[in-house]
Amino acid sequence: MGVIKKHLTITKIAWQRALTYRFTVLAHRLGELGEMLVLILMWAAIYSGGGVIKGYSYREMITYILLGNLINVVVRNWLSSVVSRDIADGTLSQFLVKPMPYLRYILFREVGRISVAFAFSVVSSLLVIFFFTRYFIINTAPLMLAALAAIILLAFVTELLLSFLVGLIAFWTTEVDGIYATIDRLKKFFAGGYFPISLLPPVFVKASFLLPFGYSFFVPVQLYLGKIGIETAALGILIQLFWLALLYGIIQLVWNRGIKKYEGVGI
Amino acid sequence: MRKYFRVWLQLSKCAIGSYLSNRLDAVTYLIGKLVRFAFFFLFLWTIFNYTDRLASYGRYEALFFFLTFNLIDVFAQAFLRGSYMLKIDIRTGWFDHAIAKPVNTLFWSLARLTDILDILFLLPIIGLLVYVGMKLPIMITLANIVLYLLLLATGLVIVVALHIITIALTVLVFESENFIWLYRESMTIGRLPPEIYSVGIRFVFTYLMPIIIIIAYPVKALLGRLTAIGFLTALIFMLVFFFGALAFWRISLKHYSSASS
Repeated sequence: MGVIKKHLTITKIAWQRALTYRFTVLAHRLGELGEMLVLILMWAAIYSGGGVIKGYSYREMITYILLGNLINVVVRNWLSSVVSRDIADGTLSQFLVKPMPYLRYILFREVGRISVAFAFSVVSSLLVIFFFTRYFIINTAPLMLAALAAIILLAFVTELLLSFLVGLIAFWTTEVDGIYATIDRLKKFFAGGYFPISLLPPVFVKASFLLPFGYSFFVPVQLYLGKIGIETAALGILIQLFWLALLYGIIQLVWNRGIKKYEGVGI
Repeated sequence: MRKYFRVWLQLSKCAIGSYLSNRLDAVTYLIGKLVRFAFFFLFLWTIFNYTDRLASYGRYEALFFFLTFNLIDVFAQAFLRGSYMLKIDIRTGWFDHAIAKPVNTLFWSLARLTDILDILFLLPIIGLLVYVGMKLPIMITLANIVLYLLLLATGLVIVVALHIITIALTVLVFESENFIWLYRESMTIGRLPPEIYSVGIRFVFTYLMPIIIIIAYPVKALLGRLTAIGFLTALIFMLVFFFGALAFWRISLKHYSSASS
């Protein structure tokens, strides 16, 4: 019980700190919503003559954008910048002597840190979905929802590990912001965040299923829209579990190598 | 004027030095910008595999809107990057030094940092603008090009005015740095032809936050779709915004409290 309380305290402190920057979060969120609305209006203009585009009806496309963005804001985090800052300014040193692994500490802290942005994002996304209820497809098949929840949960953990791994680059160079920005954009593309990957040649869809990025946007929405079945979703979950194990292994390897290079500059 | 150009040149040299000392960061940032640009370009290109028109515009016309948006947006980021630094300057007390310098404080606040990467990024954008411009399905006359450039300049003056307003707000209300991000996010409205938006949205982004005047009017002028009233509206907005922003900046400076010094 005490262990759980200890971990939740870390999350709570990070949550309270994050509340300080609520206007910043709100401003960014408004911008994101604006971008999403622009996409919806663009598709509305394209579908104005009716019809189906690459298997997507207008309602399916609107649902793709709305639900995909909702899932994306649920699973995302900004852990890489925190990890790299801790390494670059020597803050990491204090964690090395604490009776808790840095990875575990930082994961719990990140959950608290992103919770304000998470709350703003989920509420605002739900409001937008409510606004577009007429076009939003409702699917309440219990098995599908269970698989969807599993995919989202695994995507959340995968994203955390992926961000942590990217943050570890700071062991070798402090010039990491550009690398993160590039990786983020590549991730967004393969996740189907710019547009449904299925509009591109089939090789991109395959890549999206095999890479971990598609599970934070494209794959769960495909499942929700009934474009993939439960069997494919189950295979997807296995792929996610494979990535989780692989990422954890790589993190251990990179951490052990990185910590030998770490000089604690900035303490 | 010459003095200010020399000051700007010196500041830009310092910026180049800074980028050269962080080469990896600079290169990867540039790659990141190019990747995002390429993906959206690909997105727009792909859409026209499934439709002929986007709100009455063809592929190359829609791409011209997107490229003009990038030209103006990146131009502002390249030359007005200083406005992003003002909050730090005020917090650390450095803004007091800026006021005491023998250069105009507004010039210093806007132009103290030149983003060399964005200047480099302008090159492929301009190249693509010329390429896509040549593919447009209409006969482009010299008058169209002159009008396009004139309205582009008008739009850039309004963009400068919007940056002045945001830094004036930062001086007045310290926690207002997010206005610059609201402006940046609003600009994305201009990526696509304005006709895809409803009348209400078009009204807001023409007359309240004039993104459509800044980006869409030059393109419409090039395509021969802008009326004389539209041209006059752009000129009036430029004058109102620019002089209004200058007046607002002077007011904000008078209220600067130097709290951090």
